[in-house]
Amino acid sequence: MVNVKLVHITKRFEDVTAADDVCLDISEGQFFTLLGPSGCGKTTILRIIAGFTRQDFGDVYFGNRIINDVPPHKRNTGLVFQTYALWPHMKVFDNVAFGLDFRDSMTKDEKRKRVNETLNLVGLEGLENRLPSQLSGGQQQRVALARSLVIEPQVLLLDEPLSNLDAKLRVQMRTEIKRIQKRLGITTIYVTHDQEEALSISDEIAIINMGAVQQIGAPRSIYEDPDNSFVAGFIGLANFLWGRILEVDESGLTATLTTKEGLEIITELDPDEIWEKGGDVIASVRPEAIVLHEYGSTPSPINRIDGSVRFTSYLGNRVRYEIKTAWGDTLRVDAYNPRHQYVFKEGERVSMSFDSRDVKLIRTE
Amino acid sequence: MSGKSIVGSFRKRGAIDWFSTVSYVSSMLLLLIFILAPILFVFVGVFRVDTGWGFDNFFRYWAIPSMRKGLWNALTAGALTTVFSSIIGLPIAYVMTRYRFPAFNLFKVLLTLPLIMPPFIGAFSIVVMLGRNGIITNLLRDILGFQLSQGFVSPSLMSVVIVQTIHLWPLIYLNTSASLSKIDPSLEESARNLGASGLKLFYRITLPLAIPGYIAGVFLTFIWSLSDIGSPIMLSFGKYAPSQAFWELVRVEGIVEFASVICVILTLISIILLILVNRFVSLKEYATVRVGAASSTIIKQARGWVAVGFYVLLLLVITISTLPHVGTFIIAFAELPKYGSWILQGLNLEGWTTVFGRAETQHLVINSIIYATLAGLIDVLLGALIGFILVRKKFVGKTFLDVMSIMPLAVPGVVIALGYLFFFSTRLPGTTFRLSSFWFILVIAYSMRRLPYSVRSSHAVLQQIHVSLEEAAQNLGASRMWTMLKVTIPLMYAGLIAGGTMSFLTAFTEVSTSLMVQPLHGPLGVHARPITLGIYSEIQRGAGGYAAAGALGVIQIVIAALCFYFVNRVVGETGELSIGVG
Repeated sequence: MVNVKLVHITKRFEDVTAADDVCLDISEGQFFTLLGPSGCGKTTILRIIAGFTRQDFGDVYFGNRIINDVPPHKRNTGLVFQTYALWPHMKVFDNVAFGLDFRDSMTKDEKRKRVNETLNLVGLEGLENRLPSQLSGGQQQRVALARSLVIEPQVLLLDEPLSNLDAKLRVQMRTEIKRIQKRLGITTIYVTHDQEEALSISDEIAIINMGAVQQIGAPRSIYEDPDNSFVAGFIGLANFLWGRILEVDESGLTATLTTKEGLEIITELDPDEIWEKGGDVIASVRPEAIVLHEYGSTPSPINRIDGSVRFTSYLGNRVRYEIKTAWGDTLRVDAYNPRHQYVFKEGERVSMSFDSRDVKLIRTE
Repeated sequence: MSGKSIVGSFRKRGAIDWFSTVSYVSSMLLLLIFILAPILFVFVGVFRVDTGWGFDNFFRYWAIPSMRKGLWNALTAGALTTVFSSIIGLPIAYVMTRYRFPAFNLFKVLLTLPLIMPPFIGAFSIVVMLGRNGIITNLLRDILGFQLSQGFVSPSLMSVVIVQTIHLWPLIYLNTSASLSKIDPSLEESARNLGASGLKLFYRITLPLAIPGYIAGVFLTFIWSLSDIGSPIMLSFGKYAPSQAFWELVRVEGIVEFASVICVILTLISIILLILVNRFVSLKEYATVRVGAASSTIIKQARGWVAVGFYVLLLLVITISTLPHVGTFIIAFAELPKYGSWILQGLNLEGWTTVFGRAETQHLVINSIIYATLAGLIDVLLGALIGFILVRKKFVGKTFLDVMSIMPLAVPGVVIALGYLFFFSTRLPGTTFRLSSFWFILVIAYSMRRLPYSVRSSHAVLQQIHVSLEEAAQNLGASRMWTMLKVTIPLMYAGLIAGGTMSFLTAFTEVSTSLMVQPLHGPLGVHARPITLGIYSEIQRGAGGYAAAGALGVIQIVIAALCFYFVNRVVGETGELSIGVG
């Protein structure tokens, strides 16, 4: 197990920049996730770590060692492919045992023991003699995982490993992967475009867009304190209100803004950050932070927006509303646990309110 | 930081690529010497005249009416054979890819039989069966009173077309079904979902999607017909360009330059055709994104009258197109009927005693087995190597290598034969040795003629092997060499074996080079003649040689059938047996 460091990694493919000055510091035993929309370059970064793609600039460190010139087969990483890449002509056992042929000399019995242990770990005991084509998608996934784990790699690399599974299995496998990772304490780099997956299993997440790192942080800070509008919009949903800071109070903890439309918003500020009066900002409010009221019946006139319901969709655990504001924007509002609530109808006039603590300010770039 | 990395990356690239560099340079050299050079030699040679260089040879050729006629006949025959082969091949391709019925697999095997028609003796036995005094002609006359004064086949252009169609229609069938069976069912299902059905569905969706395979079949049929030496000779039909080229070479007072002129013209025609074909449909298949497993919902079980109809169609086609095989067996084993009769005169094993009694004829078989085996091995190795660097590597001259490896497909066999005859009969510098007198030249000629198929098939197989399968091996610690040995080659295995066997088979029955390039000594120290040449000269001996030619033909059929069986076993249900898929 090692820590992995990427220093100023850049990779261009013709006219696409797949990695743009990427710096990552992944500590030993961490579950680190690269999260971004498809085509953002996250897989390229993973392939650079595995050695299949050569970066144009920058260095990759395993521990204190630069491994730029180490060929893929000498890097001792365990890469789980999106398509699993199980060899169709080999049985499960031979697929898993393959990598052991290149490790320290082991007797046949030791190999068998090690393979069986790993198969037990991923819950595949008894399937050694099957061919990959005789396995279900979930089982194939486990074989791919076992094949990468059996060599006791320094780093485990997972490239969207769950994207070919159905929704239920995906949730089950991700807890499984997390459990195995915790137990082995192995440094893991996980690539996904699924934010829920990333939030649920990662110690730390790097949000990637257009080859560049947007934000690195623990799941909670990524969701609650997005650094920019891309992160706010990509992780969960966010309603954006563009405006200017009208006033910051003496304590520096509360500010008043006016939006372009002349609406006044009061927000609490993060004590670590300093905001200047007159600065252009985006106020971001999550849909679940907004409360819907009958028109005109908000408890306080602060942070109130009026509108009419454009669209209602019932999602079981919540109702998602699209509300059209007086100035024509659409805001999204989630009302959770609708069982005992009144569900507003399309066309109905409503008022929205939100707590000043739920407004997150983002500087405009 | 960055400077070091860049230098490192180049060094890395250089170090890795030596394997591909060696493969690249050696295959490039081999193809230059053994494919491009002989053909160019013919092309250059045709412009050489007494006074220097010029078009004189063309003018002299064009001035002779029978030569012009021969060229015209060859083109007409090519076109007609293609049309007739399509009429038979297309419906059968559709039936065989969209329906299942009892004895389906048996029919599948029987339908490929025509392609293993032994050269010369196959065409000759059609004459024996359907000619003016043919067994079937006489039989029909006596039983049904059906009188045909000239028989079904006679020394006419139409008969050449009939013989070629009987032989070649499976090319259309096999190539079209390869395309048809690769069509993602969801493409047809979505058309159905949008309201298309029946003929509309067929013409709007199915047929266009199958066009690449069909066109490949058309092209191969046309080229094959355009280089047919055997059928016109056996039908005694003189005015046919490829056989004219052959005659001009072997006749005592033949005009060798005419052979070159014919070859150059035939090559130009095929190249123009290839360019046209490529313009309308890239032979390299339509790119279809295929997600998930293909459902087999569009394969239907044929029942009732539909099934009866299929059986009638298939049996009729199989009966007619196995006539050459049946005829060959009759010639090999039976005393042929008296003039005007259809009753066989009993068993006659004279042919077999001739073949196995004489060392000379035994060697025909042994020679051909040695040649064809070596040619098959060369094709497997070279095909895999070229396929590998074409699919997995980027290098300068890639297109050139690709085109060269495809060339023997587009160039009529008689052209390659003539090129080999001319080019390799020049003495090696500083010696008296001619490559054309060494038997191995036949092995090389055979392997080069079949190379496009083995390159294409390993190309196709490699494209199906996702790179991640190789990367996974490297990620787990396997070197490139080891990855190749443990992952790539085992996955290619079935394709390689099938390709090698098909090379063996075509080498074993090859005509043009076998006839024209005649080395002095064979691998056993005696004559170097291959089996095809043996069949030809036995038939030329007249009635006394027919039985022996028949026996040799039976040997070819049996060995070819064994090859087919073997390939089917190896490739199994997973792969389609492809004969000449572009």
